[in-house]
Amino acid sequence: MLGMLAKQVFASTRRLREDTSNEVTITVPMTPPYRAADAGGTHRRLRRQIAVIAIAVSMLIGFGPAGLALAHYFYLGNGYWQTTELTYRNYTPSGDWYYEPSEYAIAVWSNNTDVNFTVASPGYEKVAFYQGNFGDTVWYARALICTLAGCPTADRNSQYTYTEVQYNTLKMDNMQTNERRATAVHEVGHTLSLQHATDLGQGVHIMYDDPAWIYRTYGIYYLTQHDIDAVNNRY
Amino acid sequence: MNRMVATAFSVILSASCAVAAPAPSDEGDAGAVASWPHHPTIDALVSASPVIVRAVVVENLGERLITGAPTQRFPVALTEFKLRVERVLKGSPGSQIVVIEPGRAGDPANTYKELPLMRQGSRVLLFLYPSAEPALADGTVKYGIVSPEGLYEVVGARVTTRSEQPAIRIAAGQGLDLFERAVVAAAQAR
Repeated sequence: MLGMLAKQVFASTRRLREDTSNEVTITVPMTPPYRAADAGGTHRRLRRQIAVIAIAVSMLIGFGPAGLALAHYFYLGNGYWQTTELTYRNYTPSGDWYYEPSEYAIAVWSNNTDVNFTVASPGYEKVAFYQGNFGDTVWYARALICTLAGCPTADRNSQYTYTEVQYNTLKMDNMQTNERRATAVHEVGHTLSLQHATDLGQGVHIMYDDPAWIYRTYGIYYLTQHDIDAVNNRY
Repeated sequence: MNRMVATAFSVILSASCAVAAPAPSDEGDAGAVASWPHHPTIDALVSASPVIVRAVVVENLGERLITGAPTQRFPVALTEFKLRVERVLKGSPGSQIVVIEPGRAGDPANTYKELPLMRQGSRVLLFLYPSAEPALADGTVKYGIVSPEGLYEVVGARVTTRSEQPAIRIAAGQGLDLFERAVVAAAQAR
């Protein structure tokens, strides 16, 4: 679709360029009938120019970074952080089962994408990690997203302001380390505005909505190129 | 030519406007995005569920909030429902059970598109495991739901779901009788 649109715009632009070129080089004095004909041509060119400009503008509006991304990646709306320099705070107890996977996830995203994480003072972080026995939640981990529209909010079309990752120890204590790592990497993906992929048609990647299963089934607890591209495409 | 340009323009403008429109949040009204276990087939679902029942939601017993640390901004909410069991498809639950569900009404931090809260008075088909929480004083045992595939509403003679995630609708739209027979057959095969 994008390719077709680009070709159309390119072809229109080329035609316009040729028209403009003709307009500049025509120096032959014209008789009144030609003038009349040319007046019509000028109108056509003007309309064509307007059409091409409108197309270009509409494409710029429509296919911004998020728009382009829709072709291949899944995002939690159009909002995201307005910077690649992010801060985090790991509130899980140091040395516990959830501390290292969280640090691992931060390192994986920092080292492989355009986004960079540094540790924040308590209360000043953009991404916070918590663990707890939250009971029979069915889910085993979750991420909450705050944007300028609300905190937390399902309206994720504006700038991100704060995110929180929570691990339910009741559901995750019996997981292997790499299942916890896969889950942490997945949840940090949410904090960067990545959405779940509910099928594996585009290949296996960490944003499938059951990351522990992805590890158990495919051995993946790291980023695939798809995940890296999804974040780099956005930031 | 003009018509072609105009047509192309309108088509492209429509297409680009459609893409430019804010992408609908795929999480519905949910403020949280969660990682869930999944059971994509009836066999997997039945295997993971020690108890399977058809029941009526008779009472909302209330909700509670849980935090893992004092600085945690968003507590986790659970809501408990009391249900009257109509039919047992697997296991040996009592005639009355309590089911714990994540979430609470009107709280964006605790709303999940994958698992909407049960509605009082509704008939449901549930795939459950016994909760580690103590039973009620009258002996009623508490259960958790095994996965988002473990909760369906029964409307008339059909199994339905209010979950917004198509991938989990393994039973939605099926006839109740047919689905229950498949569940019982899968349970007996084990």
